[in-house]
Amino acid sequence: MTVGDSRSSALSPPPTGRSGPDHREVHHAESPGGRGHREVHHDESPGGRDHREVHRAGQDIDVPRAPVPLLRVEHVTKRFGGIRAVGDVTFTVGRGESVGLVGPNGAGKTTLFNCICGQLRPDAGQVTLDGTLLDGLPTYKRARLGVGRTYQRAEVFPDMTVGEHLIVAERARHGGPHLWRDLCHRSAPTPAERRRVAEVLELVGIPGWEDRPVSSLGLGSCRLVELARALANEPVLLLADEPSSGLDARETHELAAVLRTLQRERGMALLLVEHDLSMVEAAVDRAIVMDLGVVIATGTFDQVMADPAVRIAYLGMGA
Amino acid sequence: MEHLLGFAIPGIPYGCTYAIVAVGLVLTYQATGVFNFAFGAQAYTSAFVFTKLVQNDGFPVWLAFLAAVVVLAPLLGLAFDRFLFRKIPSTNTTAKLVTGLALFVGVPALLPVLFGNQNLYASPSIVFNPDTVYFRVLGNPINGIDLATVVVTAAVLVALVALMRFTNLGLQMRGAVESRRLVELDGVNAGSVVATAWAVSSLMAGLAGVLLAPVYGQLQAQDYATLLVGAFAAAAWATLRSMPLAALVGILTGVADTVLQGYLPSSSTLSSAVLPSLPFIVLMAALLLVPGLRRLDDATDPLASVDPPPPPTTATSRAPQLSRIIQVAWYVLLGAFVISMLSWMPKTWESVFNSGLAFSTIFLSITLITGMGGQLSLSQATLAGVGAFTAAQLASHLGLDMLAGAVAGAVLAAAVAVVLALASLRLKGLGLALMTVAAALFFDNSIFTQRSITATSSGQALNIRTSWIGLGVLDPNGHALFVVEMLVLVLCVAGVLLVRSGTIGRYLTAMRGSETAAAGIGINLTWQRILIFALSGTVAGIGGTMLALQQQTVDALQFNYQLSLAFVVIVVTTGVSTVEGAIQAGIGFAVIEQLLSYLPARFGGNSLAFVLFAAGALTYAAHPEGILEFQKRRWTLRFEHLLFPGHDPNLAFATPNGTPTTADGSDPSILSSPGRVREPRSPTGSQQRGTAPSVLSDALAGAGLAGRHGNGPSTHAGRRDSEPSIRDESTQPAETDAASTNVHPQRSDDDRR
Repeated sequence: MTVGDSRSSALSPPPTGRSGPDHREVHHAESPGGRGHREVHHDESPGGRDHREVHRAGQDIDVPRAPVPLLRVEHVTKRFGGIRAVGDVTFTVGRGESVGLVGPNGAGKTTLFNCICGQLRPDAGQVTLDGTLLDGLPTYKRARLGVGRTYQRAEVFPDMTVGEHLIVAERARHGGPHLWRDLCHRSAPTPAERRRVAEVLELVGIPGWEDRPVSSLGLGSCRLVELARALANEPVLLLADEPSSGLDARETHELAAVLRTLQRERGMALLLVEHDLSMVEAAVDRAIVMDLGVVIATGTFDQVMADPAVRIAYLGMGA
Repeated sequence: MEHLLGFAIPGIPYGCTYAIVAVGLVLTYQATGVFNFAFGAQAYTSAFVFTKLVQNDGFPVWLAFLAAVVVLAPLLGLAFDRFLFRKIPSTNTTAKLVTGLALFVGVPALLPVLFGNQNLYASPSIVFNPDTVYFRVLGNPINGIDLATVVVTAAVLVALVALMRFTNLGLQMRGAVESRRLVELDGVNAGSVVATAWAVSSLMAGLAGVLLAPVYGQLQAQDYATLLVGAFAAAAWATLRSMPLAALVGILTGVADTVLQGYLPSSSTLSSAVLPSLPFIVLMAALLLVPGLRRLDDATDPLASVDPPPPPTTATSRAPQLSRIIQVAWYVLLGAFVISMLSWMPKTWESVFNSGLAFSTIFLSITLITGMGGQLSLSQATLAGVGAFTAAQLASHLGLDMLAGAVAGAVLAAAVAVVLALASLRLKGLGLALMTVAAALFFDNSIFTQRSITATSSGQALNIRTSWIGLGVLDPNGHALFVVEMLVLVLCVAGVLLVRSGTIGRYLTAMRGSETAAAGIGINLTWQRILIFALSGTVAGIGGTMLALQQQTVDALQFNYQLSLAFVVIVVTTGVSTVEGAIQAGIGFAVIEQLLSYLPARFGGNSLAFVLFAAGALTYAAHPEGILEFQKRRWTLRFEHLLFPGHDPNLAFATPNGTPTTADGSDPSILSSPGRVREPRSPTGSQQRGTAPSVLSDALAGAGLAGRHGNGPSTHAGRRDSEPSIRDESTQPAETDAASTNVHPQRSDDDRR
């Protein structure tokens, strides 16, 4: 099983919920049917997106046109002292949808991520995943519900091998009050666990790396290990926080393709925070732009990039 | 109101003693980034030298002050910086704490070794005459000591605030605390700035020590240690940032103490149980209520990635043949030890080794919580005491066999540990260390002082009686105690190994690596932390009962907070992450104590043992795996060179697909010398240029996506088309910054045996 394979991963949950429309998104037109309907969305784009449509059609990427909301972020506000980091932010991410969350430094993107995955508690508003209200749930419970995350600064476990990263994620996913089992369960992975680890590593493109100590890896490799670890948790929603930081242009381009393919193969929704707009363009279906804690634009990539408010936010001047 | 003020006024100079130490702690933290556990030891050293020079050597006060405070104190600080703290990466909180603890334990123990055991009384005052009442406030006489304490505290506070806020040096100090390397890149001589900070803060310590010496009748290190820990509360309420706030809280603590003393009946339980622990209760309250204390360890050095990761343990890198030889040698040694203990071993040494086995069991609890859990707990002796007192009281009151009582003691110790874990759920690093030391002091001053706990129902000391135990454990002609202690230790070791090799062990390893990521993949950090505290408390409780059995008595002094600190220092010396480190620490501590008893008292007796272990712990910064473990690796390499010249330790880290890593865990193909071009290998062993590109290239090439990205349609078709193919390695940029590849340098050692 590799990134390029079109068949489903053994680890992949069956793609579900791709038929319902999303009435909450202003810029997402309702449209019936399956593949090849990206053009319908992009018809709304003022800037024209022909090359993008061709590219996606050429890659035969199965992007849902009218995704059912998986993640609902409603009126989320977070303040630090007197400073509003996130203010009344509302948006949704559909099943299998890829959404870019962009904005200049200090826009509140990572704070919003922390609110979604439970590392911060919002002052107001609520977050719902697949109909389940996440308010008050600790991070680990949200992870078990299917919220995966990679971090702006690669967060790996330096004492572990690559394989161990995935094993621990795999076991944590099935976590629960099994004290005796957890205490006495030998840490040597079972054959089934080994197989699943191998599949995920192959999926992200580092097959055979099970026994490599992660402390011996470079930054780019660590980012892939992080990604693999998140995937071992079989998330329904992956929050990727600046996955390209520390990577060069080519690596960034390749990572975008990996994310795209994973989204397609696993039916996984992706919420991507990224400064590299070319990566965002390559990896997402639509984009949400934040500045100073509030959403200033949503829509397709070209739409938001053409938005004068976005230009002001990025360039500090009028469009 | 008049009554209240009458009680409060004497509290102000008393509170100033906390205030001046608290201000010193905040200054050291702000200027050096170190929470200086050694501050009390530095103060005591200056006071000791000052008093000795005046009283024993006939120096005039001003000259003794110059020597002890102006010269010795800064020199001590400069030495701490130059030889110890400078070597510790700014982000390594544990190393800083352990080094401070080693100084806390070692420096006061060194003085009797250097100068012999001396009792010094009635230190002279440096400013005002202690016997003169200068004026009265609401009827309260203010003598020279009170006046000096208040005046010097105020003067020092003003001077230090001005230094930190209004001088360029203060600005540079604050910058150097964040990252020495970063301010050096700005052209600041960070080494000189931090050395100055250490000199100034040590001068403060010396000044506080000499100033406060007349307050105490007899000069004792323990008084300074208790004062220091009391001052922790004031520093904590100021979140180690604001010197004026620290001074204010210190003074208020003193005032609250004297006011409560005035109002509470002296015979009441509150007076006997709560008052002595007031500063520690205030400290615990600060740790529970002040949010800033939860983020003390969040500061990161932007250049932390240039630090190399610590090396793996010897067992993971040595030649398999040598491992087998060592394994056999250990079994032979164990067999010989057991046979010797059961046959010819003299009673004195049998007792020493039994003591060592009991200490080893207690030390295993430190292996669990610190080595595996990554939590620095400074209350392990207290937990051992809970176990021992419980077992002894159950035997005394109910006639329960002490061995059965050990189980009950272990359960109660685990319960106390769980309460401690719950109270410190949001704390880590320094915050957790302070919470556990506060708990230990609370037990010392409020629980272990209660006669209902430390004595039998008839008020006698808890001397272990044979009738309490059964099995003839205390039979002087038998070896039952050895057999029992050996079995208990083996069971505890097996339990620890079981936990480490299980899923819990993996979760703990993940938590040590990154709590953020561990929670992000679904690990319940709260549960894991409670669990490891409970397990550690259980083992400590059992070990405490074993120690009580061996010493045939249970006494609060056996389990006081200073021993908790000393235990950590001892285990760190031999290796906190390995089971064998705990056993070597336990046996080594008992044996060294016995050997030192043969030396003349001139050399300080048991103090020398603490000095030796403290010296060992001071190497923690350079060798976080433990100095013993470091030496084992060093000698192992030498033996391997002689016995197995063909063995390459680097190959021990080779991956199945042929990518070797070095003994320090780094990929030699990636981590080349600084300035050299790296040529990392792909997973298949072929050389490429670039690091991450090789990973992604191989990934995508393997996945069949490389072609798509290199040549297929693209969002930026024009630009992508013009880019080289992923497989075109010759066009990839070579990376030159070797250091930047270490994402997480602070790797704690993990024995994978």
